[in-house]
Amino acid sequence: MWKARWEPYHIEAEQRRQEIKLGACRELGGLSEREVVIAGALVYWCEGTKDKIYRRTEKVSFINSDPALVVFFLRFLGVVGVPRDHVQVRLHIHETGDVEAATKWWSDLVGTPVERFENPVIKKHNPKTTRKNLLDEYRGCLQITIRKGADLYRRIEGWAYGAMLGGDPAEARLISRSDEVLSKILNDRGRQG
Amino acid sequence: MWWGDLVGTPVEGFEKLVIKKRKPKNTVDAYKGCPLVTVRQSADLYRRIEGWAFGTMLAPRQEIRTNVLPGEDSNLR
Repeated sequence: MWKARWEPYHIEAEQRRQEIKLGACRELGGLSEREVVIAGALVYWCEGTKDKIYRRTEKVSFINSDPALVVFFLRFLGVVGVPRDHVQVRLHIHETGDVEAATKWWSDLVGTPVERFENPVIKKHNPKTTRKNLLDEYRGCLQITIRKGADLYRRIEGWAYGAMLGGDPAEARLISRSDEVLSKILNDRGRQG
Repeated sequence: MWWGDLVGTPVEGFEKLVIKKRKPKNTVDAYKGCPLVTVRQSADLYRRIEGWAFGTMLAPRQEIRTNVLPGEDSNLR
């Protein structure tokens, strides 16, 4: 009874949702190389390993469970000219997962043969949170590291701040790595404009 | 105050604070917490973001396969 009453509305609402998503997707069309660089640098800044003031680690290391994000990050690496033999992939998976099947799955996705994968990292902890967003099968996370990637790391930082702040604030942030300098510049700019 | 200056939202315009009680690991930077930015009436915006995100991440797939990965036909060099 309830189902018969509401189902048509739910289907219609779901279609509306999809139309908006698909419309946004189509309006983008293809991406230029410049756009791939900008998006890739920001993706890295959100999800990648970042250098810390207390620990200098200028390494490009990116780990994610979302295959779409992984595929895009690899595309970004291609666009910025990372030689193929500098790209290393490694599976991180909980001990309850199927290492072999997961390796095969990621291998098919990214096109790196299974035997070229680094040794997997097997997690043994007891996860505290019970995530409910595991729609697909559990396949762990793929880590992508770049050999000799210190220069690339610095370029990513430059692109990311260039995209986020542009011009003077970006340069101030890159040079001083200080938030105080940044907020002062942004403030001054706000007062002028 | 610091976040208010940065984003130009008067301090009175902030939602209530969320106070975390967990012991923080990183206390090296001047600690300022995280601002949560939410957008009212944003279901449509959420859907468009999802569309843009997937449009960006999964655009020309062929290119991705041949371009980047440690396989034989890479044109990376």
